[in-house]
Amino acid sequence: MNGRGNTHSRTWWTAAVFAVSAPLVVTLMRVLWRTPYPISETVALLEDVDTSASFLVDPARRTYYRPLYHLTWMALWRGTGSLDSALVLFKAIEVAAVGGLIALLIWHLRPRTPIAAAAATFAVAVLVGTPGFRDNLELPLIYTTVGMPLLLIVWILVEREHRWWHTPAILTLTILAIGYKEQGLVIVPVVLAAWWMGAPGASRTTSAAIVVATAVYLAIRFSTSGAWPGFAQDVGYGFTLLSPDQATTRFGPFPVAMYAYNVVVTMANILFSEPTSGVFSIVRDLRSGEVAAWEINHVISSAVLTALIVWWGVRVLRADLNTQNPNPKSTPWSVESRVFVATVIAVAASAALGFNYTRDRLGGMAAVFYALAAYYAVRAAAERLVDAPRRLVISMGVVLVLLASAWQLRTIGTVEHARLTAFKDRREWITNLQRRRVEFAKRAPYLRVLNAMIDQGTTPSVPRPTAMPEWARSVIGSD
Amino acid sequence: MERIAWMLGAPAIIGALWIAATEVRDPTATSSSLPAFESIADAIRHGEVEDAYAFVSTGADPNAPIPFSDAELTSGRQVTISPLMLAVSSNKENTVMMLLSFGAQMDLPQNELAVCLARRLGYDDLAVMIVRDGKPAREVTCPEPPPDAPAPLLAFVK
Repeated sequence: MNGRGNTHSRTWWTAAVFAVSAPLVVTLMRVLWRTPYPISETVALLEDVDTSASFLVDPARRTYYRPLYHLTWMALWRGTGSLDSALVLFKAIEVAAVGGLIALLIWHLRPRTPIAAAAATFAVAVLVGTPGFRDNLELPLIYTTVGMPLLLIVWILVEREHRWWHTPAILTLTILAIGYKEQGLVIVPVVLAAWWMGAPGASRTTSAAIVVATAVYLAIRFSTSGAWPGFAQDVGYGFTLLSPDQATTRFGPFPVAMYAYNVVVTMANILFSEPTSGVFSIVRDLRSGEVAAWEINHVISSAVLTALIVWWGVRVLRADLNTQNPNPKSTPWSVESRVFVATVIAVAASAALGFNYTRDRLGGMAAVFYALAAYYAVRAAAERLVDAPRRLVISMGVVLVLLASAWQLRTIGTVEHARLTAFKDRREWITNLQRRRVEFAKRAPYLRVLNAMIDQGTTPSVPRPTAMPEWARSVIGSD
Repeated sequence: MERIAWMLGAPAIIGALWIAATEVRDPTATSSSLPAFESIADAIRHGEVEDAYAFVSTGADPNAPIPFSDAELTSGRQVTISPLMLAVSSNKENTVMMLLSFGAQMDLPQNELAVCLARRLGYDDLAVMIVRDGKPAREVTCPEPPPDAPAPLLAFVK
């Protein structure tokens, strides 16, 4: 798993990756911790939690069903008896999930060589720089932010020697992830593929248990589905965003075509960072001559990395298929082959779950495997250069440096995005209070929550975007 | 092998240094509660909504008239004007919304002509917003500005 070894210990190189990643992780956690909850989404959500428990028992109430997410809010609020405490604790979950995910990734990779360590820093940059990660940093909608580390923990368990407690642990983690958001279902095919490919921690019992649990969940969902409209949210199409009404008018008789479009563009977003929410905004900017440097960087860095992952994946699959297996009882598939297949499955499953409408955040679960695959792909490419001719080392070395730099810029862009979000959330509190008071004048619980949250929304200790020259902002990106 | 590792890892090290540097940079890294302008009038006229809010959040009365003069808006004359009227005359929609959110009352004499001023200056969207969110208790009759008024704001202030 860790490539060619040398005298340095795995602990040393893992510590080195943690040290290099520490500024990013600490900064991101610090920014998220000081980000106010926005008025939009939060106040209405908490009003709902305060006044009704039907979101727990009635899957037909909305097109989505996230009982554990709502239960978390309810437990924190009623358990502490204080909205302020609930807000702090809920934010702690988000911060822990984000920091924990990055730490888990590094710990799982545990590089043993300098090249593996460098590849691990690259994987961290890829994880944080993906649209799926970035779009899931939004408070209070942390459904997938919780699901992503759960997915990684499941993967760590299926790749370890089987223990009796793996099955209940994997089942619990899967139910938790699904209970937070439907995207948790991505775990199911990933575990099944891991079992089929002989992952040591994925037993037949594990697979059977997870299939049964999923069947029960789907039976409940399908049996309680309400008379929902064909399109629940705005949908991107080509270069424009269609409202649900517009989409219904246009695709009502045959929504499957639009659903297929959503699936394909979600996949394209994960693999190429374009389109966003179904809209080919970078292509549009390119055509109108208004394309920014960061847009080009996102598309090219994603395309090159995806190509590299495909090259590595095909290579490891071929190697496994061509290897004579001396023990017919053991699996012919290597860890790397399983990661590649799991990546393909996670991308496809994430895309399929976004059939109704697509957003960057729907690629969150797949982003975990995209980062894992990036680690192995870049490590493989770098290791091939060790004994390569000098000319190849220079040319390919330049390509790898440029690719790593491009993803570092995206990582910095994510941090700036988080700072800007915090700044915008505070501005919303400063400017939109009166409008909300007027609009929701007849909803006393809403106003009660709104007034109780003013202090957290207007606190002066809120991050703001870094002041930087226009050229730098153009390269790093801004919203 | 180590040279290749350095090539691949160097961007991460530089990125880490950049992120750390931007996080520990000067105090403007956070939205300070200390006003960045000398007066709330300056903040409304020349700053962002956060600059004006810094005064309100530290105790400035959003209804208290303030001295103000401006070459364009008052032809250089010193006038006394409410923060809301000043924000309207500067077409600062966010600041108007902030003032309404944090205590500006449309029924006070110093504020009641805000809608008239917005319409007079051609800021129709702002006027609609003030009526919708400010909820004035009664409709006011807008004064007819003198034809030779050197600046539109002068017709609405003392």
